[in-house]
Amino acid sequence: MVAYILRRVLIMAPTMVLISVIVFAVIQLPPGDYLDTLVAQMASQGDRVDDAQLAALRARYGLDQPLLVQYFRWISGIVLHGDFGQSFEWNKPIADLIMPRIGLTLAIASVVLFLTSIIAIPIGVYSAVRQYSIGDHLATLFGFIGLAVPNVLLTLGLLYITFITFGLEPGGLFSREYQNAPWSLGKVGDLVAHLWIPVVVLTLAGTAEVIRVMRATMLDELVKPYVETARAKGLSEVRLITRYPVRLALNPIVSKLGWMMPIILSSEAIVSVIVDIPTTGPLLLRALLAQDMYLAGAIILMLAFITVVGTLVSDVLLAVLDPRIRYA
Amino acid sequence: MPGMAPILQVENLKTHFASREGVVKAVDGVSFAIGAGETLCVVGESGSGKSITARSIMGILQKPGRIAAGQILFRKKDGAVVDLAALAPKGPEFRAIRGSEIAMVFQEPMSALSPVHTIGSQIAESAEIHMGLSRRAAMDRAAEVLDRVGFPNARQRLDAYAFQLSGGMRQRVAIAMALTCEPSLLIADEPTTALDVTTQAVILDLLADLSDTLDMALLFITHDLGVVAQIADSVVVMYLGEVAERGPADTLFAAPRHPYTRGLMRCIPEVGRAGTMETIPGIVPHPLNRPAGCPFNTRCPEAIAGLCDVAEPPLTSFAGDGAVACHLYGEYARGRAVHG
Ligand SMILES: Nc1ncnc2c1ncn2[C@@H]1O[C@H](COP(=O)(O)OP(=O)(O)OP(=O)(O)O)[C@@H](O)[C@H]1O
Ligand SMILES: [Mg+2]
Repeated sequence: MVAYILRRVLIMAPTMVLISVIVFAVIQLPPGDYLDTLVAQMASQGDRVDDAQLAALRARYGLDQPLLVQYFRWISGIVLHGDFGQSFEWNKPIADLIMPRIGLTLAIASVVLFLTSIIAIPIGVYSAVRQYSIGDHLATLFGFIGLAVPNVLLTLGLLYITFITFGLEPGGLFSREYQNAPWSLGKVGDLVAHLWIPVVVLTLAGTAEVIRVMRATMLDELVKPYVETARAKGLSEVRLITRYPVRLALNPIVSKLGWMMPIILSSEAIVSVIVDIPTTGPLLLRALLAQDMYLAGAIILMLAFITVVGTLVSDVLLAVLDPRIRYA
Repeated sequence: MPGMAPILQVENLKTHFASREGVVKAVDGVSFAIGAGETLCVVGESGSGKSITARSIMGILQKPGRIAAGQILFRKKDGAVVDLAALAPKGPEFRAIRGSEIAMVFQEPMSALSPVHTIGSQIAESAEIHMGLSRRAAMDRAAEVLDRVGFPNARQRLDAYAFQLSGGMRQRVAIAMALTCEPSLLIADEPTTALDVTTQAVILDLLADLSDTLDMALLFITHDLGVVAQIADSVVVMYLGEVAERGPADTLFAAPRHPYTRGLMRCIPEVGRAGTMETIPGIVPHPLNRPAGCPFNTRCPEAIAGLCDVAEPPLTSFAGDGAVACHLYGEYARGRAVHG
């Protein structure tokens, strides 16, 4: 088990290196270097950057050095000091900008994963055990709707409904009166009121997919001989199904959930832009539009890191669940 | 063991599968009885309804299979006789019997065990639900039965997984699982077919020994008449869901009556016998396309035109517990004896 986890972590390292190289390449994409953009930006606002400051920044990013050196400066700053550089648009350290947003993004993604699991897995099991029942057909219908309705449309629809029925103005995390208030039940409620739309939209999309996978896997598992052996032991149907086929059908779901992380992260970006909540998505979009490339790079890098870690977690979970992987 | 009150008596059992294409009469009027501690072998070609008979008794038929008629009278340990065919298969009364008083061993020892549960927990489960043992005591019981079936180092290997074991060891685990609650009837559906020849012999010996020492009736399903000759007290020969012939093993082997039984016997490979092995000509008819009359008439070398393909032969009983469903022994034969 330990060896297995170690092996997984070791595989992770080169993956991350590769991703960081790609991200660095993306940072280099716009014409000119970071400082050219900065100077242009400042100039357009009527500011002037003094040459000493420019020289200091040039030295810091190693912009007069070959690309390879620049890459190493950039990545070692991140890995060794958590220093992602400076956002020229916000004129703040990038780390300060993205960390709270990554926290929120992660929180939303985790809630979505959790909700997806506790909704989709039981429905999938029920659908398989009572195949072709009314409940199964309803679940399938629900699944098709979940798969077919675009997130954007659903988000806009929900926004409209909230606005019409509650008069609630979406945007941000809190209403004005709670913005600076200390934490209270009311403030939590307000937070939920602002976050439920992205959570519902993202959960719905994932749920449909997980129901489909769970149902199909369960249908396969239910007719396997080990289920018959267990039934021949005289187990009650509930114990039989939860202890045997469900237990085995969870394996593909666990790896599925690992794969869902990047999907949630990318759909989250779109939904958050629409409902205007401060996650990484809107920030990334803005950074890209403003060609604030070190900021954009930092976000992409962190999202990639979260995805890779998510896959690692799901792999480890899989090994915990399945001795065949553990002892392989 | 004739004369003894049977532990299991199957009466005119009919198990049918209704589908869009028609009704598959997988088992169609099967009767036999097993005495306590007796070994009964059910033989027949593929598709003759052996497994479905076993599943009907266990109450584990898969959809759309259902018992259409007949009785399955089982004598419980407390002496009460219940008709399993009349019990709800998933109900508590049947579940109390299944796995405890009647247990089953399946053909494929690999897929018959869960790959993600330890063998110990899979065996202990029966003891927990039927004997009301604690987890710990159930594990002790698991070690005990594993030991009983000749599993080396049983206690240390309770937390092994099925995929870490050889086929023979897996089948021992499956047998141990079945033995946990000391059933009075063990059903084994081709338990050696998936094993290599040496292991087959070992498992066969084990089952015969267990049946003897635990005074457990054994319903053994097989293709292999060689195996039957080795372990059976009595034999049921099935063809297309019906009993072609049944009787004590020694008389059946000494004087097989049904042309189908005789055909099967000619198929047993014998060491040193010259020439090629015979097979029964023709193929088993499709279950949805059963021939009229005797189900075997399309392949029978002794079929009587105008009789066997018209009328189903009734079961004719003989002294000494044998019975055969064949026109050669029924009214027709008697008529011939009188007139001829
Ligand atoms: N789920 C099912 N639906 C429809 N027909 C079935 C089903 N299961 C079994 N049958 C039919 O029942 C008949 C008897 O099958 P059974 O499995 O009892 O044969 P068997 O004698 O055990 O054969 P084998 O030696 O191959 O195991 C077959 O004709 C089969 O097609
Ligand atoms: Mg079979």
